[in-house]
Amino acid sequence: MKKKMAAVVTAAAMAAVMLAGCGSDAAQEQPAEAASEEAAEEETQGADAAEAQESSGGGSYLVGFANNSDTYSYCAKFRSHLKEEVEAKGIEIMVTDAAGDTNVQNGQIDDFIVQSANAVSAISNDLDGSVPALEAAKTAGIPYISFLTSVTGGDEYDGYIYIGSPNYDAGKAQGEYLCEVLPENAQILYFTGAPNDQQYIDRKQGLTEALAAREDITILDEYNVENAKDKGMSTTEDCLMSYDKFDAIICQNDDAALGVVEALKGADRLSEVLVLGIDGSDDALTSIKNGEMSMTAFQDARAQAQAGAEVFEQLKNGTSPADIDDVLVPFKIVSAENVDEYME
Amino acid sequence: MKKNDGKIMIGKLYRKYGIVIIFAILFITSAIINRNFLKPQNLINILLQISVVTIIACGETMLIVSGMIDLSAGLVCTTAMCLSAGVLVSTGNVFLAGMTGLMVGIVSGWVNGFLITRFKLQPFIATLAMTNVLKGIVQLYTNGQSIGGVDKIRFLGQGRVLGIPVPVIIMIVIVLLTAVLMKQTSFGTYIYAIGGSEKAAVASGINVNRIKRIIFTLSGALTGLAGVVLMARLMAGMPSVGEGYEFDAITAVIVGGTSFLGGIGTVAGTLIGSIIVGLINNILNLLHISTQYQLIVKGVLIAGAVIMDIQTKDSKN
Repeated sequence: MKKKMAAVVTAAAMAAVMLAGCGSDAAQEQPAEAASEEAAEEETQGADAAEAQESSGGGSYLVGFANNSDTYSYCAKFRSHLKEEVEAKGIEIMVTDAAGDTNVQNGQIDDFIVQSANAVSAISNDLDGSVPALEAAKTAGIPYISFLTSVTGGDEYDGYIYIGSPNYDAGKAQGEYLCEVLPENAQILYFTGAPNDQQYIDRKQGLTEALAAREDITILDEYNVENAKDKGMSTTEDCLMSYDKFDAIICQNDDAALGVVEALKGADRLSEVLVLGIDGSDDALTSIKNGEMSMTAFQDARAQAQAGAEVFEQLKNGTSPADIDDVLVPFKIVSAENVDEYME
Repeated sequence: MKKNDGKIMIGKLYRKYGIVIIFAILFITSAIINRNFLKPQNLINILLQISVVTIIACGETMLIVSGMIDLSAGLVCTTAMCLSAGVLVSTGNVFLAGMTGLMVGIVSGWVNGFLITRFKLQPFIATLAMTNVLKGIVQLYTNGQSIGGVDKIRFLGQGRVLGIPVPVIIMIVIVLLTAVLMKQTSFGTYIYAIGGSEKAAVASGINVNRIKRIIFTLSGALTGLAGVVLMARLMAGMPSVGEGYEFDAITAVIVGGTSFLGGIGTVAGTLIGSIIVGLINNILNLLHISTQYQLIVKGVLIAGAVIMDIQTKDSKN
């Protein structure tokens, strides 16, 4: 409650500055005051938390998590789960959103370190671009936990721990499913995310290697639909025009797959085409349940978040990060047969 | 001197027919190189795919002709889409959901206009600020998750009347209404007057601030409508879709011959500009050429259109 008040005061002061313009000295002083007020509040809160923890045996432990992007539904879901799981263990967590920008995310990791975080973590935006964040953690001597994505050179730092589900497996699961269900000489289309993304490379490699078992299957073409529903939809509409026949559209995520489903429904062609996604979002599970999408590779956000919380707990209890192994949470194939098990 | 005359000639020709000629060339070339292009379903697809952006572009045309711009249109569209989806899910009332989308547009449009006229903010700055506020609101409201279960509004996005998709019909109606508004009413005359010379408009007794607020509110309403149509087309309110639509709309306006300097441009041009962009995306898809090339072609188009604009402006002076 007190914290909320301080936040309101800060917001009001900032609004005052905006309205009054930068020329007013009085207005300029206000936010500084409010900010320090807020900091003071936070300190007392932090002390409270520390007291509470001391009585339960452990010291206070603060971690930071920089999300990749709050607008990407899977990342948003993971962020909520992680916050819940970590707080349930009595660990304090700061959460930020990089909005898809690697540079912003690296800055947020720096901010965590300035705020004396005991460990930092992120859905690292970029294999190479996130290296400065990893190095900042290394310099500060604290662990860097990379969720879902890897960072170049991570294996050389003892404080680096990877927790995620290998994207290669998701593509492979799609490929294996297709090998089982596709008719002979099937023709398929591949809808992807941005080709400069490691996730794209891994998922594609998994798919093509699994499909190698069935040489009769032809991949007609590949389209970059940016893993977005609107692009998945419009590209399908165009493909329905330019190809006489295709048996399946394989997407690199569920959002795009759901767009494909809408377009096929609109053209009354859904019954002839299999649609595959990755992630296992709620909408995709409903779609599978309704007999629209055929399959998705379920990425278990809850299990990943739980693994993350457990790693933080181990670190808090004094385990050296060098002794903590990477955690791999497997993808699971979800189709009409077993979709009920995954629906909440 | 002679060279200048030539320039004026080309300029006038381009303003009047250039865009139509470019469109015709593209259309005929596409029809020749791909057998699927001329299928009625494909032509309808192109119109369907540009419908949402064109509705937004009608508003941007009024704004750009009057010398302003709205960078928040994409996020207004996203906000309208998500809030109206939310209202539809919780109340099950299609009318209420539609009104919510419209209100989101009207309110954010009016606030943009208010900031610009009352505090003399540049439209660029005011709408940039609005973009951030709306992004925050959308994320708070949706928590990054899409809102499904909007089956009741299916007709608006997926339905057809006499074989023509409903979003296309809405787009055509909006284009016609905007054209009448800009060409047949005194309000339209004011839009051109303000864009031509704001000082002259003030001197001639036009209440410039009031007109500017109305333009922004109207444009916001259109963008809100576009958000509702987009929601019905995607059958969900999606926080990740809509960002960047403002630039697609501005591209259509500029390619359509509207001067970025204000005072010149028509909504008919915008429609053709939008069709040109949609047609290029479509034919490149039909030819199985990847998205990356579509971006390059779009960029070249924008630069080309603005070069023509500046060349013809120069020749006038």
